[in-house]
Amino acid sequence: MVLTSFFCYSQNLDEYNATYPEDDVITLSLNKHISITKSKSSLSIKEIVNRKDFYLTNKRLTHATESVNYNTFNTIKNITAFTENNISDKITKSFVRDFNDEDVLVRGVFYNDQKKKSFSFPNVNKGSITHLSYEKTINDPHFLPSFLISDNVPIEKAEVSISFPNDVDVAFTTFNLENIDTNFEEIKDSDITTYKWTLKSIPKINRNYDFSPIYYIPQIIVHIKSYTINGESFPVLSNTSDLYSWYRSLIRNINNTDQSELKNKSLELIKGIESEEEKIKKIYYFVQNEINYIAFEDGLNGFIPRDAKNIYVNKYGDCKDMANLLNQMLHYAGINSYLTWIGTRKKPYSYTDVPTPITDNHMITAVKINDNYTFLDATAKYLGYGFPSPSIQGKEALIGLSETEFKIIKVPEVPASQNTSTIFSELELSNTTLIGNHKVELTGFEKLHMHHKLERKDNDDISFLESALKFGKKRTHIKDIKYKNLELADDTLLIEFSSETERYIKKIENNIYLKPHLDFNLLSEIVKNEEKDFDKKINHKYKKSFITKLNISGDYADITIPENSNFNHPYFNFKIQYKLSQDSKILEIEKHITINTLKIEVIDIEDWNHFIKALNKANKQSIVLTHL
Amino acid sequence: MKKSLLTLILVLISITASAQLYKSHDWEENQEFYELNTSELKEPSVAIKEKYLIQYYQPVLGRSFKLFETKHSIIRINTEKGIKSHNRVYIPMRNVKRVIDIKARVTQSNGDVKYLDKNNIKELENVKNYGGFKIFAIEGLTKDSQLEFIYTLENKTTSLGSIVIQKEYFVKEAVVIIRKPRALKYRVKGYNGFPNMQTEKVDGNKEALITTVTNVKGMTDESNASPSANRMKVLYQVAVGIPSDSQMWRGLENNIRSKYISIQPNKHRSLVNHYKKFAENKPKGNSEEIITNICEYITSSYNIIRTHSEELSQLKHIFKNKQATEQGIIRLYTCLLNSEQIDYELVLTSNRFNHKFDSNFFSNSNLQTALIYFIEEKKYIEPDHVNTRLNFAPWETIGNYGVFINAEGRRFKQIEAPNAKDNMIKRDYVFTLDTDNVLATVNCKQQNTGYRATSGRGAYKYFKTRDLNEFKTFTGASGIEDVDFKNFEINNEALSLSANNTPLEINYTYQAESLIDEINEDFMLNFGKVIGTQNELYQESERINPIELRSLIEYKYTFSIPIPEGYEVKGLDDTKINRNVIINNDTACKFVSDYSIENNIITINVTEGYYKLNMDLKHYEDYKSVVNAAYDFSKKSILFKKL
Repeated sequence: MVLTSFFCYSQNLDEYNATYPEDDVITLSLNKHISITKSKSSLSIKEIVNRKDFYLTNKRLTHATESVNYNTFNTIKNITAFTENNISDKITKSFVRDFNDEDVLVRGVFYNDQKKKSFSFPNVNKGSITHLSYEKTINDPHFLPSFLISDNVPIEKAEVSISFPNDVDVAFTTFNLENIDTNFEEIKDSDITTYKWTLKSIPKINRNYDFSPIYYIPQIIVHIKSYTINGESFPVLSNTSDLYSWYRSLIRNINNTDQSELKNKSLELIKGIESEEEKIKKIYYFVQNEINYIAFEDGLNGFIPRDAKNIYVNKYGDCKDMANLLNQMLHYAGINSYLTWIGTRKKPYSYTDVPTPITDNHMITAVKINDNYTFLDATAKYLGYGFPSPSIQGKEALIGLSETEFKIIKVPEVPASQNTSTIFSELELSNTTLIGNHKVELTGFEKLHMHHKLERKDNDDISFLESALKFGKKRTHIKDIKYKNLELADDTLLIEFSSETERYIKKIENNIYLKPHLDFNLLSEIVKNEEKDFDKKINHKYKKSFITKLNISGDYADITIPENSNFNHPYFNFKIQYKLSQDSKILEIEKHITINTLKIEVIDIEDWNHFIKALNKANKQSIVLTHL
Repeated sequence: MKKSLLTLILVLISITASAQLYKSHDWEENQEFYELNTSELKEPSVAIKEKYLIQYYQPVLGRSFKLFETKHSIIRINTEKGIKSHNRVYIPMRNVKRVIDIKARVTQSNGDVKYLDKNNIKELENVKNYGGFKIFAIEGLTKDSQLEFIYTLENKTTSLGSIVIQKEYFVKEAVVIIRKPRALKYRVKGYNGFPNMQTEKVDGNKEALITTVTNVKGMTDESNASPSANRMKVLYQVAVGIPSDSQMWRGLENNIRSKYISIQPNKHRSLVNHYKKFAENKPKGNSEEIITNICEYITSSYNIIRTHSEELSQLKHIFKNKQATEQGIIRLYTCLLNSEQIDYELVLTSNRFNHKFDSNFFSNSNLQTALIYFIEEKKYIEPDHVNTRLNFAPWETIGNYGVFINAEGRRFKQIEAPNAKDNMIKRDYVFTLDTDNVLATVNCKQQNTGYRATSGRGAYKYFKTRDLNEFKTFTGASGIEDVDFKNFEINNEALSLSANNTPLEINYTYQAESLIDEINEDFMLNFGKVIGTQNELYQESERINPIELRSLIEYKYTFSIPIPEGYEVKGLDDTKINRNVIINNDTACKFVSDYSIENNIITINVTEGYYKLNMDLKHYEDYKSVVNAAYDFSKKSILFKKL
């Protein structure tokens, strides 16, 4: 059988090369099967994976080095890997003998339990077929693996299936299968049901996504709703209530050490404060300030906040630790606050469609004031009270109200009018040098991001403001910088500075050409080539304004100013207006740019590109001063 | 009898205890909260003290030596950035036999102290095959607090080591102590201002080499420089009857020769025959072609495994599995080179941006990179690179020295940098201006040689199957935000063409509205923009490191721009630039541009060249003006005025 199949593949090498002219390796077949069986008092779950890769050329031998991930919730068994070659019509198999266990470092996470078995297929060359098979034992029915059917090479054919006893209730949700040749079968016999999907010609992961690839790759998410053993029914994840109930069970025993130190601190912080909102702010900013975010993802501990008092004492924690500390301190202050689970914008799922732990990846705290919920993300240092963190805007928050009650509420998107950057500038020419005095006002997320940049700033970084504000030229010397209102409680961050840009103007004969727009926002934001096929991600809505006064000293026979310009679109627009004073001594320029969406959909990409081009063109306009 | 035995044991224990320096080194019971001056308070963090104890130790009852290393740091944290730099500690376990102790504490200005809970020390067992790590987060760290940690490890005994005392942050006092038993000898060498070490008595009435360095500035990460290599550090050798450097180099030479050079091809007939079959229809007229065949054979048939495997360092297994470790792949090359009787030298050197090779002090830092040098061709191959071909030495090794070893002996030799004429980017631009539609079309014929040809070929190979648009943009139109390619072709992309430095040819045509600005009825052509995004050094703070370039290189651009009918050109004089740095009557670098007009066509010629790898700090301002001239040129425009 193997001989026959190999012979076919060899015969088809030219054919595959013709079908996949851009690829050096393809996956011929990918089989994943989840088997659920019942043992005495619980479920026994394993995933069996088989994959065959075909090397169409010998230009990408590095693909032969690969790995299989595992963690606390699953273990790898019976891993086998070998390379099959046809040498002089004789089939040879070269087996992998060394599988190295390695820690997997996850970006931004200090410690996690992810590990991998890494290995390298021997004897790989053009025409080789590599075979990989292994079993993954899943220790907890809440963590059934998803079928993510995509890779960095195309997949010719994939078969994924799940089989389970008929008294186990399994549900599934599919994503992004619309453009894939897919066949679904439900095979039911007296004891076992099998769901099976067959997919053909799955393209490799595209490099041009702006949102996370998980928004695009074909996937089937399966989860166990419930099961029955010995007549007793056990709920698992049939709906959001089950998910919440399980989450709640995980946090039942937190904060069971002596919390009096924390309680005293909470009461000390709010001493003399009457207003509920002021109490919340005081505690919220305290946690933001005092506790440093360090991420841990360590098995079930990745779902259970650590003791609030210990976090307070140790001064570091991850999102759930900080949410729990904040929640606990707010309770001591008499505030109605709740632990809240949420998926950031990296996650495309909703709790209703996918009531499983893959839907969320973050924990925050919610407070209820006057029947409205406000979301507090203690990990977002410098985030003002009342603002959700940028990464959770528009996402579902699962608010844990009590042992049994919860509420799902969509986090609001912060409107552009609350995230503003305004730069007031007074400019004048001194010979060929442009001199400026500037005042910057930042609110909302614009203020937040400036705080983050300031935190990372090097003392000797003299180009800091140029890059942080996207303002000025490389030759611009920025000096006399003053920061005001750096405190979290202040709504507006103020920055004052002056600037000098030598050789700023272009002199040709009697004319001076001067470009009065010093900012370069959105300059490189044109969506190009294949990127146009995918939605563009916007981190937050905002409005940027530039109010400029150019003092024109000296006598000129003529002053030519650019025409007013604008671009109108509901989601993105700009407006530039020029006004020359009657005595031609002052030119006032007002520019407003507004981005009013978190996503530019494919249908709007062409408009977006027109918008960027129009803005770039308007930014380059020159004032022409003609000497007498 | 029993009593005397007990006494003897006590004495031994006592001797052992007093002999182990790390045991007598501890933190103060009551930690002082150190005062900082005004300028120190502006730093994100300041190390009050960093102490390194290296102790070679011989137990009285043992023959073998042990090695203990202690690191003790006291660091004041001033800002959030300081917290983020210091609140996570990673201790590599790769060479560690035993952890003696790890402890940490944080002291607040009011005297409150938080000690590390050792249960919170986590373990990573194998990170990227570099071994394990002990990691922990510092507990209780806040702004205006003082961190202190101390750990002692028993390491695998080795006779060579190094300590880098210059960090990214300011160190008020660094102390290095190297102690050893009488039976061992030591030798040390300091670099970049590390002072001489003194022999002093230390705890336990023993002798040790000691140095204290004060006020070590944090190293700044600067471009066109080698800040890592310039850090203050000390290398040391500790061994029984320490051999001379010459003896150590000889030992290395013998080792290299026996393991890599003296491979007899006739013992590996299958391998050699397999290669010969691969090469049977390929040109073999000279050694250059043969070396190319060997490179093509190995890079297309073998996979490099970046992990330790004794088996995959042996040719028999390498051939069988078509896999080799980084050491094994060298043996594969030398075996086949021997089979073809090609003369070569195996070169060991360092990445010059990390450490300058020093033939006068044997150390592992000198031996991080392996190359094979071909005397006749004056070129190299880089065995552990998946695309290696006969080529110039890798840019990170040029100008550095290396030890060159062959069957007859060894020599120290500088690895020559290819001259700028062999490492060029040449671009001929022809503009077409559509004044009705305010659109510029640019046609460019580009030729890259040297490193830029090699990197271009490698990038093309990579992006061809992934995203050719990305390749087009960074090759031909970086910084042109609205580029629209109409045509793009590439010639001479075969990797092996590096052997005779055949230019990589890239020809393309694109349009971009952003190249033209309308000003009433006139228009400005931003022609300089087509040379792409340029480095600039306008906003540099005070320069610390001398100049060290990646390579000698020359850029040659010509622009052919027709003057549209009905227009006259203005502002051309602005394109005349002449900046250079002359050192000892030689041009170290320059930027020269000029123009001419003939038959209503403007021709602008530009040469930007860098002809010295290293320049002293005193030339920095002039060098900066050359670099900035290229940046300024990229912003140049000319005015076409309506007649």
